[in-house]
Amino acid sequence: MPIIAENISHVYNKGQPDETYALRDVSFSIEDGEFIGIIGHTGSGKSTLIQHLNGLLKPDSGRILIDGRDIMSKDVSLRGIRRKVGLVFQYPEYQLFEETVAEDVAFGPKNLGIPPDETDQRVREALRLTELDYDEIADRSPFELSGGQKRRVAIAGVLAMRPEVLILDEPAAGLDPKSHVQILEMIRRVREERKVTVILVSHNMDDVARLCSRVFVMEKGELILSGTPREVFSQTELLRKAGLGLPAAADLIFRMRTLGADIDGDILSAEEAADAVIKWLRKKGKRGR
Amino acid sequence: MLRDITLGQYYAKDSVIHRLDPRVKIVAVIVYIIMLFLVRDFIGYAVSFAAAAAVICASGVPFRFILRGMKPVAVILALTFLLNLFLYPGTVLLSAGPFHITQQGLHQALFMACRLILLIFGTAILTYTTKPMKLTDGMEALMSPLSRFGFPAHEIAIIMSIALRFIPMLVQEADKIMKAQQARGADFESGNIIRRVRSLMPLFIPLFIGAFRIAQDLAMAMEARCYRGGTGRTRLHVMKLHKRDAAASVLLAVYAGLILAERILPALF
Ligand SMILES: Nc1ncnc2c1ncn2[C@@H]1O[C@H](COP(=O)(O)OP(=O)(O)O)[C@@H](O)[C@H]1O
Ligand SMILES: [Mg+2]
Repeated sequence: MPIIAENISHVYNKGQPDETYALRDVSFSIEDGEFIGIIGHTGSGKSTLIQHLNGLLKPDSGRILIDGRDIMSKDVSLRGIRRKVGLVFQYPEYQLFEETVAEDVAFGPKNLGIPPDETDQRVREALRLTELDYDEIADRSPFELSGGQKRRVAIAGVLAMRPEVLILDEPAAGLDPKSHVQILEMIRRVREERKVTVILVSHNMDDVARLCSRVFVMEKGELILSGTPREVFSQTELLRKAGLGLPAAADLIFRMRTLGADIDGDILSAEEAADAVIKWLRKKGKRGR
Repeated sequence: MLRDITLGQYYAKDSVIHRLDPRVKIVAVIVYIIMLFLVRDFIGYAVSFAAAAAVICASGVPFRFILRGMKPVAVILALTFLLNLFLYPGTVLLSAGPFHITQQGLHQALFMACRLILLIFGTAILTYTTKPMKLTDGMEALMSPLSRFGFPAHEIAIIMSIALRFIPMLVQEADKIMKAQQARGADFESGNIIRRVRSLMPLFIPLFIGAFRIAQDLAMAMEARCYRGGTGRTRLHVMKLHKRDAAASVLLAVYAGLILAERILPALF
């Protein structure tokens, strides 16, 4: 289910003193099975952009095509789009409301008119995917869970709709390091198991470099750069201008280079950095001798 | 759909009206409202309208913003107009079936509509040109003589200012939660009334929980910064009356004088 954005722009509070251009002429296309990372400074328009992909926001100009059809046209059901494109908002745990975890996760499937026994099956599956124990947790109130658990429940609520595209807005924001790693690992497994397209908004360059197949860089409402993590993170200047950093390993090599070390190649992971440094030390050793 | 709420919104601009002391503005609006209730005929309304229009022009707030502030009360306005128009007894001007429009009814309907519209103009100018914080500061200052008799002037002012700051926050929060539930297939717009009210539960529960969370955080943050109520508290911005405030007061007196004269003088003759 390819998603195509054609020159979309979005303005908040049009015609008022606090008018904001949140998106300007953004275009891209996303193929099935991709793992897209969206990075950008706070206020660069990431959240606004993803809310267009399931029709929660309407572009002021331009259009979004899903399966080749403009999602704002009359004959496309927005509910159908929202079933196929699951969106997990930032801090989704603040949106829990039902008395029990199971009921909360079932909210989406119920809205879609899924029969009760299938709903139950989906709830179990979603909780399993998010690594929560159904028997232990299903009948508890979502409000008595820990922060990390609440977030999983909220993500399960979207997974229970069995979306084909899963969009997550900073899913690890505000979590402790351990839960952070677990949430991302969970996303990676969901993607493999359910073969969904994943769009991940993140402030963590290491996560993006490690997981994503393609990265979009947003700045002031514009899509200024897109490509593989290797391509994107080699554009140090552009990223710095957009107020963004580099993955830790790439940053280390970048700093060594600015101090005069002649290390070449685009380096992303810790392993690559280690190899490159060893190679560089050997070379230096030989020259020194 | 939640964005339409403009009541109490501030329109940033640097006009003489914006710079007036909030106390003067509050007193002026109160006097203006009292005058509107004293007015007996359309001449008084014409004078009031001229006064309000002059202030709007001086404030630089576009007229359409003032009109937009009317949207939330448009229903009340229409209802008042229609009820007066059709139900007021008197000399019949026009009748169709069970409906009669009387001469007095027409007069009364127009009269009440004018009053309502002018009332809204007054309060809209006040909120468009005065930051909420200044507004509550002004109210606190005006109420403070009463605190000698145990009236909690400072507490009421701080409650109002916090409430005012909460409104946009809650609107934003509600918008976010609604979108999140819509992303899960929720439908807030169709179905009969019971379904619609039920569909609001997923909105209200997280909203209330969020409001309590924010309130608790705010209380903690205030306590951490040694907040302890009104007694002995000094201000960052001390309110001082300027020449323009004196000028405004004179103009206000002229306006009130005109209205009162118009009301009383015919009685004298
Ligand atoms: N509901 C809204 N109303 C008005 N302005 C908004 C709203 N949401 C976001 N904005 C503005 O739009 C811009 C982009 O915001 P957002 O998409 O949230 O960025 P990001 O997710 O990258 O931090 C910001 O300037 C923000 O202030
Ligand atoms: Mg955001």
